[in-house]
Amino acid sequence: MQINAGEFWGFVGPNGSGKTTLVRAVLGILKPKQGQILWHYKARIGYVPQREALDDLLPITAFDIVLMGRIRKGGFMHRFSKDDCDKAFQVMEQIGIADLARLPFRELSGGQKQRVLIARALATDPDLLLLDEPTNGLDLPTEHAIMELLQRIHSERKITIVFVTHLLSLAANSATHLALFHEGQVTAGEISELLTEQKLSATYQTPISVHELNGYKVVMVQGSKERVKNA
Amino acid sequence: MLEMLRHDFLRHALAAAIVAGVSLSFVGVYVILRRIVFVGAALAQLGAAGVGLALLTGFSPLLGGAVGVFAGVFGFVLMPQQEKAVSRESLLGAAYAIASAFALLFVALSPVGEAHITSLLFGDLLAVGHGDMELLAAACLFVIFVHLIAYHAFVAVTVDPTFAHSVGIRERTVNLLFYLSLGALIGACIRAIGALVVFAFLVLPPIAGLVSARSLKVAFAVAITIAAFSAVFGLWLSFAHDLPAGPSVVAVCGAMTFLVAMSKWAFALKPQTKLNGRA
Repeated sequence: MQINAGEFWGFVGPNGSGKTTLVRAVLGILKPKQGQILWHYKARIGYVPQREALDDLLPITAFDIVLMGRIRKGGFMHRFSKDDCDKAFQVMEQIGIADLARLPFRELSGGQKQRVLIARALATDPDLLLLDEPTNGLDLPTEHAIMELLQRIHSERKITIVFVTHLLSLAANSATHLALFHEGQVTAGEISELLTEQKLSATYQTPISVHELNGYKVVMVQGSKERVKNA
Repeated sequence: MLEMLRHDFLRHALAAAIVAGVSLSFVGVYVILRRIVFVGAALAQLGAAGVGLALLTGFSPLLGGAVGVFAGVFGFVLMPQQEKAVSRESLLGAAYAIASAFALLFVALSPVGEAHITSLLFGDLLAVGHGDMELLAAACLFVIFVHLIAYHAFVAVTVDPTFAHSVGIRERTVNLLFYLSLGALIGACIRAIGALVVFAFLVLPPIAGLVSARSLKVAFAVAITIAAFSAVFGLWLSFAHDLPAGPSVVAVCGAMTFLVAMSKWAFALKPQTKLNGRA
């Protein structure tokens, strides 16, 4: 699998299929048992964890969270400058969350928290934005708003985006490329070549149909009703 | 209160309690946030076992306490991250139970006998001398200095270790430094204020700070203020009413934490303005 600069990837698979493990390997936290990760250049990664990664015990403001993105490489004794603060606030303005700056992170809604974490990742000036389940546990309108935000960031900043999700439809409607994790195998490619009934049916070894409704791609397992009855 | 300050040994006790309380409650904020309260309890008991062993063998209790704590720190750092047959928490619980038993056994077997058992738990604040005080202050100031220098790295690793790793902070180095500083603090304080008071300062003021504050800096400020107040007022209570010093300090500390938590709870009962908007 090769990811080129400027592409928008969705890593899709059920829980336990190895998506988050791959993310941790990309971050350099885990070493791959097989294969290797090669970088053509030293890309700066803006990582967005799952919202639950930040404990609700934390009394920390949204601005302080975003400011963490300005800690530079090896910034063990880093002190935040005025430029760092300006940059953090500027990113919050661009994401549309400047009004949340002084609020405690733990008091924000799920969607607001997600935006704060995306702003923190953008504050690192990343070449690659890496998101772990960015819409997990969000309601439908918020999920839609977050994906629209990612698409806007992708088109405005031209940065590479990789996000992990267990929802194929979500990735199908926002990403340019897909990596499908299924039973220890990964099938990867452009949306146009992968999002076909033949490819998806072969990957998941079950008949799958792809429909388009008002420009929105809908992926369904064929004969779903019968499957539910027989389950 | 001023009457208390006329006595040399009480001035030392007061200074030791304030320095230890402020430092322990500062680091205790991280202890609570990292959910490693049991590590604090186990290290304090290992320090007490070290003090007990020193009393038995005739070595310096301060040295014994430090050796006990650092043995615990290295054991904890070297403990496998991946839990297989036994969880890390269970191992910590075992270390706590065994260290507590050995601390009491060592003291019971030592020539000074059981008279020192209470001081293992609650320290011997009134016996803090010049040398002890200087060592205690040096250790505490060094730890606070390290924490202030690397403040953002400590916060980043505590808040979100994976993100901290992604921006190039060496998480393992920061963690090692944290546990060493925690060990140094507990080791330096254990003889003066005892295992239970060390543990109380590590837990109670930080709880009050984290419950009441809206930002981390305020949480630190609340925690160290409560610790300092508890040290002063607790010692005064002990002096004025002829009560044991350690338990008086812990009682004041507990009451302050309870009051802060209750006032926060009462405040939360008021109708709150809801945050506007969703994503």
